[in-house]
Amino acid sequence: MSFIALFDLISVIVTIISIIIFMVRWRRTLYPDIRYLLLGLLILSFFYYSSLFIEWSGITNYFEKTEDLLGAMIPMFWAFIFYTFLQLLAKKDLQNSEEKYRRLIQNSRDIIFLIYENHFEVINKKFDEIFNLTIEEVNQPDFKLNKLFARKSQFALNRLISQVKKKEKLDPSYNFTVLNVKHEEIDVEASFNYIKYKDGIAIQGIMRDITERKRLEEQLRQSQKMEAIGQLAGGIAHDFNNMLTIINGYSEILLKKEFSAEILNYIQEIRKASIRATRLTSQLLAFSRKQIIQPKLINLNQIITNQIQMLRRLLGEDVAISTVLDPQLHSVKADIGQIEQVIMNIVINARDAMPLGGKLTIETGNIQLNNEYRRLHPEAKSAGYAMLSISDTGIGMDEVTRSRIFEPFYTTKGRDKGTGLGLATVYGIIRQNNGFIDVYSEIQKGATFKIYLPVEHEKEKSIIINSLDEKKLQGNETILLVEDDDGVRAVTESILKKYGYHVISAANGEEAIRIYEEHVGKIDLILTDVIMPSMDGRELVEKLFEKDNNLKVLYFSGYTDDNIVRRGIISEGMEFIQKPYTQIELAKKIRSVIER
Amino acid sequence: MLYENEIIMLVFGFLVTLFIGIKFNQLKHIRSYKTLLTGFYLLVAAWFFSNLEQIILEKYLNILEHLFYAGSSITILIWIFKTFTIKVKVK
Repeated sequence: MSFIALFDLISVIVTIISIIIFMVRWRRTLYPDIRYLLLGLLILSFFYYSSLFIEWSGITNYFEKTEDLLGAMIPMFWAFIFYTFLQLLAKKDLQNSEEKYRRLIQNSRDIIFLIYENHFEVINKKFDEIFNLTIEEVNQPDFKLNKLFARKSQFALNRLISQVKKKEKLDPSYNFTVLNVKHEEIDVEASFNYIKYKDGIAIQGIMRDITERKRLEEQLRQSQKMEAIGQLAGGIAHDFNNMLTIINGYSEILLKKEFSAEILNYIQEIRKASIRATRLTSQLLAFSRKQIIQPKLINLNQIITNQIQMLRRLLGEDVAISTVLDPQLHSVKADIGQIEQVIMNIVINARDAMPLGGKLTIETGNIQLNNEYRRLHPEAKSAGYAMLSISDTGIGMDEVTRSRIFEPFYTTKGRDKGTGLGLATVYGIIRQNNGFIDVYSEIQKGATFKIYLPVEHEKEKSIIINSLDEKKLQGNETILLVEDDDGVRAVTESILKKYGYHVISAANGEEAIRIYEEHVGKIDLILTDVIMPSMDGRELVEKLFEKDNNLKVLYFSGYTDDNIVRRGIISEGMEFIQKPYTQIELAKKIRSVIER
Repeated sequence: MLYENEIIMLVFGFLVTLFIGIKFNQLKHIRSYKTLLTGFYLLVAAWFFSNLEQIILEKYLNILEHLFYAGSSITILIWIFKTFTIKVKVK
C-alpha cells in the first residue's frame, strides 16, 4: 500500500470515529442548530476520503467522477457551517443582550413599563410591587390607567395621554402622584419616550419614587425658613431688650418717687406693658435659640412630677391627665426652666384643643434610634434619646396646620387667645438643647408631640440655687459699669446707686481699662455688656484679668451672639444676667457674685 | 494538467477563507475555534497542493495533499471531541 493510500485510510477511519462520537453526543451537542450540517459534512468527507482510498489503493477508478462531485461540495458545506455559526452567535448575542436588558428593567428601583398599541408589553417588578398588578391584570379590558393616579395628577395625566395620541413631543419629565396598593400617595418623577417597537412606536415609561426626596427637601426648606425667622426674631428681640431695660428701670425708679395716685397709676401701666413686652421678647429669643441657658443634668420624670399639680390646675376639671413615666429614664442635659416652659406651652395648646374636655397623657421613655430613622430625620444626631410625649384627645390638626405650627405668630386661636409664640418657643428651646420634635395629628383624633432630647451620661452635679435674702441686697462696693448704650448705662447706674453701690461708668472697653488703671484695687466688680463696638466684654475682661485675675465679673446682654455665648450657653464659671432685668434681679445677682 | 473540479474546490476554499477573515471577530466565539479553523485551513492547503502538483513536484505534492487530508480529518476529530463531549444540559 502506498503512502497516499495509507493517508487516505487514516482519513477514512478518523472520519468514521468523528461520526460515531458525533452520533453518540447527538442529543447533547453544544450547537444543535448546526448538527445536521456537520453530520452532512462528515458523511461527505467520509465518502470523499473513501473514494480517494479506493482510487489510490488501486482497487478501482470507478468512483473518480463521484469523487470530483463530492470534492466540490465540501467547501460549500464549510461555507454553510460558518454562516450558520455566525447566525447562531448573533442570535445568542441578541438573547444575552435581551436578558441583560430584561434583568436591568426587572431589577430597577424605578417603575418601568412599555405600552404598545394600548397594550402593556412590559411591566417590571417595581410596578408590581407598588401597584400589586400583574401584566395580565393591566391588560384586562376594564383596566383604567387613571385609577393608578391620584386625583391631583389626573389633569397632568390627561395632558400626557393627549400628547401621546397626537404624537407630540413629550416633556423631559413629569411629576405625578400615584396611588399604591394601599391607596397611599406616592410622588413620582416620570419620563416617557417613544421607542421603536415591533412594527411601530411604543411608549416607554419610567417612574421614580421621589416621596422621600420631597420630604427631605420640605424638611430642609422648613428648617431654613425657621432659621431665617429665628434670625429676624432674635435681632428684633435684642434691640427691644435694650429699650425695655430703660423703660423697666425708669418706671421702677419712678414708682418709688412721690407722685399723685393718678401719675403712679400711669407709671404702673407702663411697667405692666413693659413686663408683657419682656415676656414676648423672651419668647422670641427662645424661638431664635438666642436665649441664655444654663444646661444641667436633669431627669424629665422629676420635672413632670414637680409640675403635675400646676398642670392639673391649668387644664381644669374637664381634662383628665395621666402619666406613664419610665422609671429607668436616662438623664438629659437641658435648662430646667426651659423644659418646664416647653411642657407648659404644649399643655396649654392641648387644653385649647380640648374645649369640651378630654384626656392628656404625658409619657416618658428611653429611645434608641436606628440608622434608618436617623437617615430620615437628619436632626437626630445621636442614637440615644430620652423621649417626652404629650398626647391629647382634642380636635387635632390638618397637614397644613401641622407644617406651620412652629412658625412664630402662626396661630389657629382667636386674636385675643394667643400670640402664636407658644410652640415657636417650644421648637426653639428643643433645638437649642440639641433635641428635636415630632408631631403626629389627625383631625378629630387629637395630637401627639414627641420631644427627643439626647441622653447624657455625665454624673449628676449639684444645682446651686440662689436664695439671697432680699433685705441683704444693699451694698457699698465699687462697681465698674461698662455699657455702650447711653440709656441702658444711665438706668443701670441709677439702680445700682439706689442699692448703695459706688458706680463708675464707662461707655466702652478702652475707657473701662483706663478707669480701672486709675482705680487699681478699688473696684470690687466689673459689670459689663457682652457686645460692644471695638472691644467686646470678653476681650475687656481678659485684659483686666492680666492685671488682676481675682476680679469679679458679671456680664449682661440682651442678645448673645458673641464668641462667649455663641451657642447660647454661658461658659463654666461665668456669671450672666439677661436684659431686660428688674431692679431686684440685678441687685440679687450682684450680691451673689460679690459674696462668692 | 489542471482539473476543473480541483480549481473549483480551491476557489471555494479561498472564498470561505476570505469570509472567515472578514467575520473572524464573531467566529472566534465558537468553542475551540482555533482547532476548527486549523482543520479547515489544512483542507484548503490540501486543495492548493492538488492544483500545484499539476505544475511542479507532482509526486511530493501529491503525498503532501493526502497527508494534509489526514491531518485535517484528525484536527476535526479533535475539535469534535473537544466540543461535543462537554456536558450540556438537555432542555
